[in-house]
Amino acid sequence: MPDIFVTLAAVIASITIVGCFCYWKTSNLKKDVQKNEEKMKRSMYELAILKELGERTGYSLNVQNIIDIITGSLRQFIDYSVTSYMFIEPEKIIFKIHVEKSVSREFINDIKNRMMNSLSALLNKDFSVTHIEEILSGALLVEDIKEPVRSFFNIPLVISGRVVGVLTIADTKVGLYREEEMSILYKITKQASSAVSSLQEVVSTEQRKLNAMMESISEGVVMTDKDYKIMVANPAAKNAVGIESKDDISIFDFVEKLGGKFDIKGKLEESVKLDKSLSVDDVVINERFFQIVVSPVKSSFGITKNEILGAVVIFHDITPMKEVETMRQDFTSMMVHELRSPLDNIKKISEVLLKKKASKSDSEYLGFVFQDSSQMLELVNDLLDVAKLEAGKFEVYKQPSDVAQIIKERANFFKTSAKFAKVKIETVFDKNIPEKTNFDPNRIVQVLNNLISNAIKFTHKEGTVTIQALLHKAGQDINKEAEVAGIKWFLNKNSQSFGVLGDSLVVAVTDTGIGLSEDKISQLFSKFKQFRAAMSEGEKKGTGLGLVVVKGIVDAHKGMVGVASEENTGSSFYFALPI
Amino acid sequence: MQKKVLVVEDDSKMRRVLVDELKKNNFVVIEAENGQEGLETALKDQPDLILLDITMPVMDGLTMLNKLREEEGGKKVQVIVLTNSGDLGKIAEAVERGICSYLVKSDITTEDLVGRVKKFLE
Repeated sequence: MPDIFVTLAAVIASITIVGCFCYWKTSNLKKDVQKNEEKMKRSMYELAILKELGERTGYSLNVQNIIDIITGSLRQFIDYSVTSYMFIEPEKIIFKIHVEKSVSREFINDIKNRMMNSLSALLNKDFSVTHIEEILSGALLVEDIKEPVRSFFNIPLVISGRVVGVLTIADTKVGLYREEEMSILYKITKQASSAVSSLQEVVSTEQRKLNAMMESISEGVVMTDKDYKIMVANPAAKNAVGIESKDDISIFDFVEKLGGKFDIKGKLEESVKLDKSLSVDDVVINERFFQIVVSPVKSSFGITKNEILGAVVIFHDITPMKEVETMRQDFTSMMVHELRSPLDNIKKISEVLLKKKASKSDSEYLGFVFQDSSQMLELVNDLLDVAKLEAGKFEVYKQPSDVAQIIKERANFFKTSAKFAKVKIETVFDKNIPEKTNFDPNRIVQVLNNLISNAIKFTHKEGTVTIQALLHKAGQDINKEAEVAGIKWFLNKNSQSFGVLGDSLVVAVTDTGIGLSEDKISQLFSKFKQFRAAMSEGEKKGTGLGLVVVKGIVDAHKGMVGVASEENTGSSFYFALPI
Repeated sequence: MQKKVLVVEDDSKMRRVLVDELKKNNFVVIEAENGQEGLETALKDQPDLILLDITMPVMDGLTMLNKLREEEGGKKVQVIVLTNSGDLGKIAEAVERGICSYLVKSDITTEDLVGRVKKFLE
């Protein structure tokens, strides 16, 4: 029986002990939780401060700006009457005070003296004669309040290991600013200053890199601020316009040196106003050619994002390019005489010979000579024209011309080639086409040459190439017009390619050849893609440069060019000239 | 009466082809191998038509054309300039002033060329 009591007592004791322990534990836990909560709050605050710092300053290196943000945020967790900071500048000390609760002038002076003393002590320097610029904000100063400074806390502001100022909080109440809170203040200022320090370091490294690059690049670079005051002008820029190296260089030095050649100020203003890059080619300065690009410079991050900060002018020396261009032109005219004339001779002579009665094998060989010289001549012509198109030197001389006559002549011109390829050439004319229309007959001959020779190349033996001309009236259905005129092409009702076409002369060259797939059609008129296709497929069919020339010529007539095709059936290449 | 055609062309092979083809078509053909010679021959022999190349040594076709038109005896003769498409720009003005017609060499067969000459001299 007593055993039971003993056991019971033991159990109760155990429960009590465990309970006590648990209670003790729980209360400890509570304290811990509270403490952690407090800690977390503070960490979160710190984080928030630092985050805010980052966002609001937009990575500006304005330390004062950063301190303003810190002091502005302090009241969220520390009570104070006045917060202030002193910041050392080369010629003066900035003393900025924010009064949260009204105090007297004396109160402020007291803080000021204390801060001056601590600055002197920190830097071991006498500031008594230094000018102090005071900036006061917040509540009014009231002389009747005789409350003195009873709590005061002072933190040095250190950036890159250098004391740049002090930060202070002060209150009329006694015993504020517990050590715990202060450690956080320390931490914040320390983190802020280390952030600024490392940022400064990064920026100065970048600045050095940028400067080194600016000094060494061959492009002339001039950067201005919003008021067109020059921030940077690298040696290449000064060389380009011929400005002697001097320290204070202004936009007017450039205006003066550039004279009427380039309105730098006007372009800068225009670029900033329109918010876009402007490029001017072929500006000749001191016998060199420049491409000058003027662009606005915008802030790319922070609260000032997209705000225009200034502009940049880049002088790109294109003289070497111009020299290459001249060489190319020389080469081009060399090709004209040294390649084209003899090829033309070979072609014409073989053509004359082909008409004579010769043995079967002789005329076959002559055919080879004729065909190959024709192809080479075509290639040389295309190369010349593409070069001219690229140089923007492609001109058309429009004159009243007889399209039917021209087409008939082309059909005749290609008779020999067609006969050789065993292809028939036919012509179809809409009876409505006017006797004379205004276009450049020689250029249109070139267009036809290209289209017809392509058509012959891509048509099977016993096939037909048809050259057709049609008058299109604005607003009419072109397919119906074609049907009436007896024109056969691969355009169908779904062809939207003509879009809204005014009165036009439409010429189509239709073949019964291999046709084209959709994706090939889209590549036809691009030089680069043509080259690639010709290279990769290893076709004997030529470079396809001809179509680039065709497009160039038709574009110069303000006309349109297109193709409709059915694979394995044939293709129609057409162009429309406005009349 | 047979018509007289002057061929002014520095390329002897091309000149030969032209001369032969024209002769075959019953033209009286005289020839010159540069502008200087062409100008003298044209004034002396008074052809009905001149086939004139542009790029030539000694004197080019355009200079010859301008000089020819300054002379009393050279104002009326028909001139067909034979040009490469690359030289078109050069003669555009001359064509606009109506002092010559022109043909692009590589775009025309000899047969067409003779046909044109015939048409001009009808």
